[in-house]
Amino acid sequence: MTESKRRVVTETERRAIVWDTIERLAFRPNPPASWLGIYAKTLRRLWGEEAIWNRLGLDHEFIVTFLNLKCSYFIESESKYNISFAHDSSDCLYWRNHVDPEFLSKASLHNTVGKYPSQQMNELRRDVESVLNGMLFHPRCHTHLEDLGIKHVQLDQEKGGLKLHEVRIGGGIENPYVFLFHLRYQFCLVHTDARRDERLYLVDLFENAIRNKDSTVTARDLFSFQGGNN
Amino acid sequence: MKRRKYGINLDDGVALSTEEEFRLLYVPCNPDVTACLQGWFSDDAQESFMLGGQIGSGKTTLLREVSRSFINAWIIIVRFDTDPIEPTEGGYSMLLFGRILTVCLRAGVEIDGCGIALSDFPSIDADSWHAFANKTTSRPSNLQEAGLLRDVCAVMTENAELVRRSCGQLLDSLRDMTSREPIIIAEGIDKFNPGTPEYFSLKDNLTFLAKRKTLFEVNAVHLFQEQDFRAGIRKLFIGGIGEDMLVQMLQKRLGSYAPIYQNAFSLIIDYSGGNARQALRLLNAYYFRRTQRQNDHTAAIALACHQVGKNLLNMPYGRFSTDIFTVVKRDKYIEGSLLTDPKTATGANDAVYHNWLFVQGEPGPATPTQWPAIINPLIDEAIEWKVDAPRTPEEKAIRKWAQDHDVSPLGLNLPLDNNRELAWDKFWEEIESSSEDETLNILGVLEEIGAGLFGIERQDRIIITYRKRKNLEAVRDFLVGEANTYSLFPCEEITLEGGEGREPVMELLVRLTDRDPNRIYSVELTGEWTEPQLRDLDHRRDILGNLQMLWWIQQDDLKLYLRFWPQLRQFFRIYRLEDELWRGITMEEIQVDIDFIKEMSDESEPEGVRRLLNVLAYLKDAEGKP
Repeated sequence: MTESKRRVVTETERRAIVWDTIERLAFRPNPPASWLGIYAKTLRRLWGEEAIWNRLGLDHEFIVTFLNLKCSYFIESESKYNISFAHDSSDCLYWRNHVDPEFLSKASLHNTVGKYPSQQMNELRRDVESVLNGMLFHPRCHTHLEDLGIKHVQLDQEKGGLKLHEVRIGGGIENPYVFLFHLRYQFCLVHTDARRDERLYLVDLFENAIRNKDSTVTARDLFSFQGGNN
Repeated sequence: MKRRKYGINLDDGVALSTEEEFRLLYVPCNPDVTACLQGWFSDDAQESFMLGGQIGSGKTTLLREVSRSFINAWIIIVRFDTDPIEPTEGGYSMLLFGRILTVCLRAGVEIDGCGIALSDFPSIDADSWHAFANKTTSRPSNLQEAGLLRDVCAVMTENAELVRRSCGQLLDSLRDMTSREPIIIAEGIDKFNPGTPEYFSLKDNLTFLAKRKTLFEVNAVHLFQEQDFRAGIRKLFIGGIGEDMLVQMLQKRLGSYAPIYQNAFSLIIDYSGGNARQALRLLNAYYFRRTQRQNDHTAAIALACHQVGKNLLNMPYGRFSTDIFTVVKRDKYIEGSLLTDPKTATGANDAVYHNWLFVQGEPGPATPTQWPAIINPLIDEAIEWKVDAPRTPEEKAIRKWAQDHDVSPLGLNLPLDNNRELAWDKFWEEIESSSEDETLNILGVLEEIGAGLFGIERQDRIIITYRKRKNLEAVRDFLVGEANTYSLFPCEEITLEGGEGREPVMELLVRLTDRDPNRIYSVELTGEWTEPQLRDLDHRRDILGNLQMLWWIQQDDLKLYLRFWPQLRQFFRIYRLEDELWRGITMEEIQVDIDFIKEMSDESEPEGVRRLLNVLAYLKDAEGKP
């Protein structure tokens, strides 16, 4: 195809490609054991908490201790899972979400084709930022914890702690690994800079992976788990 | 130690040392003492003095904070606790001479003619004063080298007075060359209990140094031994830390999470008795209970008090004069003469030295002999004092919880004898035996020690005791293997055999020559350790700082050892393995972890895989047995 005939890919199309690419690169682990293993071991590190003994599999739970919140999940496949939030000791259930691929959603009807247009690479970083915002950092459909009746807690804002309102539980996330990963970020209230550093890290990671046409982003890289000196 | 930039930084109360640690965690608890110290460093006219405080009061951190500002001064630091090659007069003299020599050489002082010649010490084989200084102040790299240094010590013991004269001559030369009075910091005197032979061997060097511009880091009990230093020597005392400062300390440790746990602050501070380390250990234990075990607030406080009391305070009963407790409880002070009167000194010194009593501050001008003091609250709370003030509802709730769950020291009633008198012996027996039933399986141990084992933001020192040795290698391999699922942690195995004619402490020093904070040191104590060997290890507590260590000690042996380790126990938490310790572990889970490490590692044979394969083989073998 000549340059003049090549169709300009719109911003929306580019970002749809980026969204699908990011999910394919990092959020369809097969087998999932090491992805979940690293998730378990790095969860509290991002939150600036002491490490605790933690193993996670496909049907497990973890506790967000400073919120007294137990998060239980069961992953059947990359598109079928359920997840719930309950009080960590009373088992008072706040919220449960089921994702069942036997039924349609608008997103499930969507299918991107093609690769990120090489002639528009200068837009890539902004596209990655925008996609990660919608996917992980600030999902378009979301619920705040206070709306679920979870007791309000406030970290020390003078020391950089964020407000509870900054937790946004995404609605309509059909991939369980994206869901778990976005919780990791959302529950990071320890310091505004910790969130900023994580955002920058992920934008750099996925921009480079797409630019380099990588076939996968390993769990090690996704969670910045070096295997030494973590 | 690397610390978290954001969030929580807990430990068992190790002294701060790095710039990062001071920036994130330092609280100026003692501004008056700090100002005095700064003035002393700056003013050549000021003479020697003693900086005293009880174990865990923050002396070392304060000293480091102040001395950081004087890095360009000609300061001679002599660590009498950790650095002598042996705990004899010759060992202490050699270290002192070596440290003074090092600074003199740096300043360009002429050494020849100081009264000591290189040829006096043929065994050390030093061809220059620089080599001599290096050899006498460095840790030996092998036992043979240690033996040669001990030969030098023997010569120095015989000629200790001559060595001190030479030290004096070098200090005079240094003063003339730099036009400043040389500053000497004698660290670690606080680790020496005044009643021990090692302290006796140290005394003449202390008296010598007291005539120079020396700062002595001492325990509170040494403040009452001024004749060992210099009559009339100035004393600075670090007492109990105020509530506001302790709140700041806890807040800094918890970072932005402080508000989440602040409802525990007042009780943690009350039970700390104003002692920084006790407060930090209580916070650490409380946080663990709340987060890993999901205990509620009341249970977490009671269990934290129990854990800290057990680790820091458990001593064989009958070693303390219990009359002192009754008097201090009544009067809220201790007469200074109790610590010097031959009839009461041993018991009173032991009670202060072991932190059973906390001396809160210096006597006021109106009552110059009365030192404000309290019974350590972890002990005090255990006793149902009949005349006690009413408890707060929260204290009552915690006490009730502890009593309902047979947890001590909180919740014990003081038994009375037939004459309705306080039966202290029974009380000590109850305290001593209160933890007998607490044993953990291997997963329980892993949870308890995980915070230190799984990251580089803290290094903890753990003692694991056991009844029968049978499968310790598999236990060690499991813990090290699981740590390697979090990060790359090689393990160095050290066996220290005690007993007459053996050198276990020297062996440890040699093995720790290249200290690696990313390594797990697994240390097994075997043989029949002698009392001097146990005390020597106790004095060298600080060489274990900032290292991740697992120590393995048979439980009956540990009971004997602990009474010699008032310092060492401050750095350790103690756990006991139950006999059925593999409950809850499946071979499938071990295999998953092996696969995980294989996938994560770039090495062909990662250490974690090797360790966990050993565990798998052990479990298969055990399963095959009837």
